[in-house]
Amino acid sequence: MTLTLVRHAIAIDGADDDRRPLSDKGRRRFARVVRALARLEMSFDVVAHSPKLRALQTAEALVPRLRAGGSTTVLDQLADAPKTGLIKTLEAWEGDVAVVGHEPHLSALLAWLVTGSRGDGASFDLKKGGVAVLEGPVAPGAMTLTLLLTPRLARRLR
Amino acid sequence: MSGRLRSFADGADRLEAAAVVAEVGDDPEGVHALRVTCRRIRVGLKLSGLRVLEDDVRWLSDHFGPLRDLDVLLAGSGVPPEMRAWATDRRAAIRLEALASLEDPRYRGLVRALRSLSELEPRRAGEGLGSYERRVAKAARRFDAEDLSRVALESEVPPLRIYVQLPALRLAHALRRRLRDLRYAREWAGRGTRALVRAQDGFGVLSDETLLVRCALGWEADEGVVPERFRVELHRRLMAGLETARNMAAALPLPDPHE
Repeated sequence: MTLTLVRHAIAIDGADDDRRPLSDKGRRRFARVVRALARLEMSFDVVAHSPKLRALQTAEALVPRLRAGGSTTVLDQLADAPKTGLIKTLEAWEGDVAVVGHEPHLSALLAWLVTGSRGDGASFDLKKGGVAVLEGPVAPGAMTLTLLLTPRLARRLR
Repeated sequence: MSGRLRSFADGADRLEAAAVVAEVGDDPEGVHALRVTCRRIRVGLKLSGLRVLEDDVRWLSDHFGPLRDLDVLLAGSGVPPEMRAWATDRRAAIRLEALASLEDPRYRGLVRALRSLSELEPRRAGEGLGSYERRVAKAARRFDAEDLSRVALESEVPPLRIYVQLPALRLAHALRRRLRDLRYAREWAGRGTRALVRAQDGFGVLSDETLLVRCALGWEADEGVVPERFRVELHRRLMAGLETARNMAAALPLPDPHE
């Protein structure tokens, strides 16, 4: 499986964490990331996202990269630290899957899938709107990190 | 638990309230309210220009679809006792599958996400009404063009499977769905819906009878035998329902397609 982890784009600060929308700057910058994904010919069968508004809006921006017949899915688990239940959910999917979530949970998931330890999350620095691509079977320590795309790098991709 | 949604957060509250009723037991109102709320939310999402959550709402609604079908059957009149017993057993079996969806992280995520969404302003919703009206007009023209006489004049009662392939029923069903979506779109836009509710009710009778046919086919697939008397009765009701639907469609206040 190809699993693309996407950190939500820049959001506006607010008291209600679930309802913080993307800022104009966040939308603009993430649009460039989506363009970079298009240039890299990346598309998805599933776009999964956390229920928080900023993740939902980031996932919405990825909709043009959904393949025909592809679907989006909201998962409560993506708003929290990764647990075995999330791995089981991801395992059940096939094809190219994008997951939109938050830090530090996304880096913890990345570390868990690549090194086998959730505690190594701090070693990976996922910027807002950043993308990490993993290949291989979805299991702790079984995946390979094949691409780390920062928003800055995405801007430079022509 | 019915009526127009004030917001997506209201939709989330209604889903949760309906889920409680559905979980408690045999009251069909919970399942019905859950599916109706799902449809209202889907229309609201479309009017908001959102693609995300649409699949999640459909996923939830689909889990309860077969349960709703059986509830309609069990509430129907003239259903043979053997078929009713089959439906009761089947309902108990699929109810557990449907309820399992309420424990799924996808359901929890959906409810939470709906609460995170901004309000859909009636003015913005109103801007999307045109496409819903055009879809109703198109479906009504197609239904109107279908010759019902060749169905109504059928002297022999055909096998049940014929009904599900019948273009007139398919077109009536499509029109009913478009009427329903227009009604919900108008609700979001804060507009009146009385004529649409009346039309939807008229089509609903036909829809329920079509559903009885589908359930009867399910029973036949489980080696049940639909009594001839019930098949004749179903045929009569379907034909009457089609006639009512045709009259309802003719009375719809539709936009001029040439405008």
